[in-house]
Amino acid sequence: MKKLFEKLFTDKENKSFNLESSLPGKVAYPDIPKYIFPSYQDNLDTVKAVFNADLSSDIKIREFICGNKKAFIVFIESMIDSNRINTHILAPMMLVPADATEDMVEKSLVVVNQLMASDLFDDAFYSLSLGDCIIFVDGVKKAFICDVKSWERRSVQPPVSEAVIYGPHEGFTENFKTNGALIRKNVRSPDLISEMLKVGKVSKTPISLMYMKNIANEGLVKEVKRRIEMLETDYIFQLGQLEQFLEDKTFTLTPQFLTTERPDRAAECLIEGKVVILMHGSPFALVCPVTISEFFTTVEDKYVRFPFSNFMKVIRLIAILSSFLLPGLYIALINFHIEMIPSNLLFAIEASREAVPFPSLIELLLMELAFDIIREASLRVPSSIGSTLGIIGALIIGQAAVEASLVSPISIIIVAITGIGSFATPNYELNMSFRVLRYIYIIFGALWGFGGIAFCMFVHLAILSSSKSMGAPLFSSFSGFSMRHLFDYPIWKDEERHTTANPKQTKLQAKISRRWVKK
Amino acid sequence: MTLKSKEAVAVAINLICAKTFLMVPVYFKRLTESGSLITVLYVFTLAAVFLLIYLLSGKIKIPKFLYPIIAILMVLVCSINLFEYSTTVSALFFRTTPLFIIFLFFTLAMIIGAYSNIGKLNLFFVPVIYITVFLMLLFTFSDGNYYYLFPVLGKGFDAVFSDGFFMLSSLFEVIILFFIPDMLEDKKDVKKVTAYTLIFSFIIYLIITAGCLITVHTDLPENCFSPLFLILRQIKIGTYFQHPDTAFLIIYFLSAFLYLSGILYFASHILSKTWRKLSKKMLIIPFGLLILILGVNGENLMPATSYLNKALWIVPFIFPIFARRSFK
Repeated sequence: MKKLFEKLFTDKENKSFNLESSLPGKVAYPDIPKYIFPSYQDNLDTVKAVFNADLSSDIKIREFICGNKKAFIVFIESMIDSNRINTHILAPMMLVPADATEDMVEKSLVVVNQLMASDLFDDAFYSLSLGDCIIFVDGVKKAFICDVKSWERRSVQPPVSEAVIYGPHEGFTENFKTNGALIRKNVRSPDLISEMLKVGKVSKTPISLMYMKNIANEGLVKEVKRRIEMLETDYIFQLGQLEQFLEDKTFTLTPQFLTTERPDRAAECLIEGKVVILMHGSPFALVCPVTISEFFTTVEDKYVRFPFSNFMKVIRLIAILSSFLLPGLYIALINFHIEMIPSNLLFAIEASREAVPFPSLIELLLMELAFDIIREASLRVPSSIGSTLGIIGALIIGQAAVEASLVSPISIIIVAITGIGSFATPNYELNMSFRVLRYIYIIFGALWGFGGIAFCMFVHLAILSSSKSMGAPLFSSFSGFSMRHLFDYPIWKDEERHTTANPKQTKLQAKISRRWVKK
Repeated sequence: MTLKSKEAVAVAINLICAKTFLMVPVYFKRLTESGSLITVLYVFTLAAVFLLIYLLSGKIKIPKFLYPIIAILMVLVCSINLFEYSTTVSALFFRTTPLFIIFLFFTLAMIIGAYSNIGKLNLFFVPVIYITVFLMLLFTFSDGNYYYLFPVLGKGFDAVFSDGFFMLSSLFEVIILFFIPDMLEDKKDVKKVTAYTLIFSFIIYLIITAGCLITVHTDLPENCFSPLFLILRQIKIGTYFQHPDTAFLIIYFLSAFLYLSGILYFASHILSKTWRKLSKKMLIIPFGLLILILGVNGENLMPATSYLNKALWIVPFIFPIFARRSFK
């Protein structure tokens, strides 16, 4: 038997494959020396070995003579501006008559605005992978890192998931420096600090930690930095991954960080004393700490007058509650508490369900499942097919299913309201958590009626009330009896900062901000 | 007041008022056939207890040997309440559901609530629950039928005081005010906490008791609804509020969950103070299971219940004086 298994599952062609060398932690390339060598040849060999220059076609090494010394420049072809290398680096260096000294290269030969000399291979290779070019000169124990980045990048476009009517239409891009600039454009304060950190032992993905020096709590900034710096992982590519590494509670459905793709929202959070994290390659910003009420608000709430924003908040709250509570309540009502339903409505529901062969629970679960499948499919298909998918979904799930007596019209109405309610949820991650919660509420509603719903609500809120966002309770919006976190006041009355982030300065504006009122 | 103080106020209000709203009004009415005098008695006695605690707050040092006794009493009270809530719910709403499942639901919620941030949970739920209760009562109470609230004396002066007085054992939960200082960040807040608890408990108690006394055992014919409800009917919205009292069930459950988890939390907390090696969280699950076992066998506890109902009032009433003396 053992031989048979070996015969069946052993790939003859890959017999030479060594499992151990592919295990995590095993380095496939030679150890990198720490310091730059004085010898030209040693440096060249190291660069070639580390970056597999023989195999990687995009790693370019150009050897040249600088004065009387040998030198070479290394860069990644697709990430640099070749014109700048030709005219501002190679031309002056190759045409220099005298010997190139370290001082000359740094101060007079290379004509780029950002140049750094480092004696560490680690710095040089990290910069190389970000799109800089590195110059090595024979006899010089330093590498010259020149900023010649020129990636293909997306221009600033309107945000996809946080569209507004009454506000700026610019969203973050995949370039974190552009994102940082967009935030700085909004804040315009010298107290805005942007600290550079790296995450991932191998990927060394650059991240920018932004906060207001005069407002943000020092303890909070230290805690964020501590958590980031203590991460021990090889690769982190996106903010979503970093968020999972940093969150307080892993096994909870509710997000503990606010994700935004709007620079104005990130700027607003900074003014509140929060910390914003930007990551290279991620068109979002991560904000912490947050409270639960911030997931229900949009940036537009600040831009419109307070009666409208409060009205929209109430509407949104109703939509959000219906997005996860309505199917469960419906099941509880028709299975356990039919006395609550008015007689006429009850007869209508029963008549519509008469031909349906499934119990109400199965019927509703099927509908919810179908709805989620359509939604998931519509996200993955090209936009041109998306509308077709919508029509197919509406026709098949709606009309055909009712005509075939697979589901009742009332179930479709419930699922439709639930779906519309979930689209009104401003935060995508919160929306996803409600999608999961909806099924739990349905099952408990079917098991135990209002008792099950109350049980779910209690447990849900018990978990939420013990959840924290970077040390700050998610439920701190409900601390005390103030409604400031939940509803907007007239903008001139908004005198205090939210206390969630425990800011250094609590005063947001003067007590009488409209001085023109008092003459 | 700090955030922790507000949480403490919410826990105290809930432990006192949840019990009131879940059990006491019906209980009193059954004994006295009216609510007027017993309500007055109840409120004023509550005021006396609170005042005593308020005056002595910060000066009280509870002898260590009393800790386990109080913890055991709390577990016992919690088990009896678990039994009563489960059987009531089963008899009224879930006749087909096995009783043990209902017990299990209550116990699970109780343990989860006690494990999580009990203060914040109460802070969030208490206003929601009591405002909803008030609104529900507004929709359902019969129009102008204040007989239950203001008859002369019901079964008579003697019945009210002899039976009603012992029912004050329901105020047993007041003793948690002695253990609230542990929850506070600033110990000086204890007086404020007591004062706020006193004021809010009174208001909530009065509204809930009055409402419950009017509505309980009322058949609710259509011409006996509150004017607000009738207006809603006139504009055809009210037709969709058929038997809104059923929705009351959610509030009943939430109050019961909060109450049970609060008691479990404090029972564990008090015992953990006795033996420092025991942590609060370590005790919650064993205590929860113990309460479940005792609650399932609630019928066997009934003889004890009658004694407890008559004797438990001694603890909150005499305790402050006793504690004061021990401190001296």
